[in-house]
Amino acid sequence: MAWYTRCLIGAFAALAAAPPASAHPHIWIDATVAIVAREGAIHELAMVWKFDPLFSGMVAADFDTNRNGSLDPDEIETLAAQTVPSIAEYDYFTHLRVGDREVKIESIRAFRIEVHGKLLYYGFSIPLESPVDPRKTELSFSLFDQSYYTDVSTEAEGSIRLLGDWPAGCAVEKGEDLGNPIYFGMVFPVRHVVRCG
Amino acid sequence: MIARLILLLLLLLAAPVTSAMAASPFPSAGSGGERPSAAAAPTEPPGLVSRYLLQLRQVQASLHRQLAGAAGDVAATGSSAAMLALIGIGFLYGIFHAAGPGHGKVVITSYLLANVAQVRRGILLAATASAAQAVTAVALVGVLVLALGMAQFQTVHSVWYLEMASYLLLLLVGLALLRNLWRGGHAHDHGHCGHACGHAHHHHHHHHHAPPAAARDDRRGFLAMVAAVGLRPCSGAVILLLFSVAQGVFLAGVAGTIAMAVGTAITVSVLAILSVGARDLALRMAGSGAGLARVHTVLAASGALAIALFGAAMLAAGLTGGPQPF
Repeated sequence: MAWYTRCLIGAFAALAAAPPASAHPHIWIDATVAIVAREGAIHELAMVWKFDPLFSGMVAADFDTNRNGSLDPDEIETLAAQTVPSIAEYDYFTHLRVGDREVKIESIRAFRIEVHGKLLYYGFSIPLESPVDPRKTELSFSLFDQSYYTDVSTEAEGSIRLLGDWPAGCAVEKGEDLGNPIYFGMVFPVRHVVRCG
Repeated sequence: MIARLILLLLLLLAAPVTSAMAASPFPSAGSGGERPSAAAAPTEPPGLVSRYLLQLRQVQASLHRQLAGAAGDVAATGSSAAMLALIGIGFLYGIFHAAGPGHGKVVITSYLLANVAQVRRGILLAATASAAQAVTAVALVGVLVLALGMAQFQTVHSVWYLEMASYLLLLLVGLALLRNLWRGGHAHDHGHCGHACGHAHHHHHHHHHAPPAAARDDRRGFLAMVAAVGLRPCSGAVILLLFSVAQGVFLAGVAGTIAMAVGTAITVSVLAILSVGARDLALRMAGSGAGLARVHTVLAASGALAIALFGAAMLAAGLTGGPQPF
């Protein structure tokens, strides 16, 4: 067998072995993250997720139980009660790293749900176990769903903000999170790194 | 535009798949999901493949949102302009959405690899499978939501059963193709020997007089592939249909779904053409006689094996997977 035939067959085998997916994203989230510092140390990440209109529509269809065209406080409470444990299983799509240590998000605070212009918003805060001084310890995070059923984007201008009492010269750098490939190894999520000085 | 799309498809297929198994295609990662070591996590500017996928993702995200807008417009105005917009966006969504993994591309290309078929047959297979996926999506939402009043999320989650049935069927089709090979039968496309066979005409002359049983096997294989791939509806179509039901414009959702299927068929057809073309090239390069026969067998066996393994792997992943995030 000639080498090029082998090559072609190899290429075919690779093509055939390329894994499939039923999970290219079907839910799209635009995330906004405020990194909150007090007295020069990072205390929490304040997160807002804006959902795409199709997902927002599904939620409205299922949870507007009295069919009045909007989500009332009790309906939102039911939705929240189902949502929090579910996103907790997925670590709130937040993959946080402090120094060279990966930190599992154990709990969130102040979870709330709002609807604006037919779009669904989740807001919550991720408190850090102990405050992190960004001048001494590198803090970074990536937002992604490992299964890629949900796409979490921070592409929009101003989606990452530094809030509160920050040391001078700090900024957030975006790059590829090479340690966490998703989408069958083809996509690296965006990693946000806080850098000072 | 077309050239760019083809390049995008090639990149998608050629992309490294090493960590594929870590990323379960089902939303099963959960809290215990595999997580690569955090030891080295360099931050780098995006590579070529990533940039293309990023672009594909942005286009998809935009089309996904526009679908909702268009369906909302149909509900609000009932105008034919809104309807046309929905159909146009659905068509583009089908083209770009299918450029990601899934949609039976892997199995259809594998099947074409395992069977000496011509380009026309490949396109027919892609189109029929896409149409079947649309029919499944419409039937699913029509029966579960419109007739039985099932909740939207429950309906989305019920797609899982169809997926499992689809993968089981694929496993069986792959095994049947392997069995045929083992018995010495060749999975040739006897009925339609055209361009593809022409290149190896003198070696294959006797195939033109193949018994009708072989043609029947081919037809059966074709239908089995359509059934297996078509059983799994595109979740994007299901979500659009659910949204349309909520807006009271189910039929507009059906029109959008059909447009999506046409777009999907085009993308998968491009791959089918590439697959048939590359296989013909391999056969031509293999020369004649024993070499050609061996390449035939290797191609057929790897294609059949790929389909069986694909079905088995997806079935295993689906059965052991956890719930979806939402």
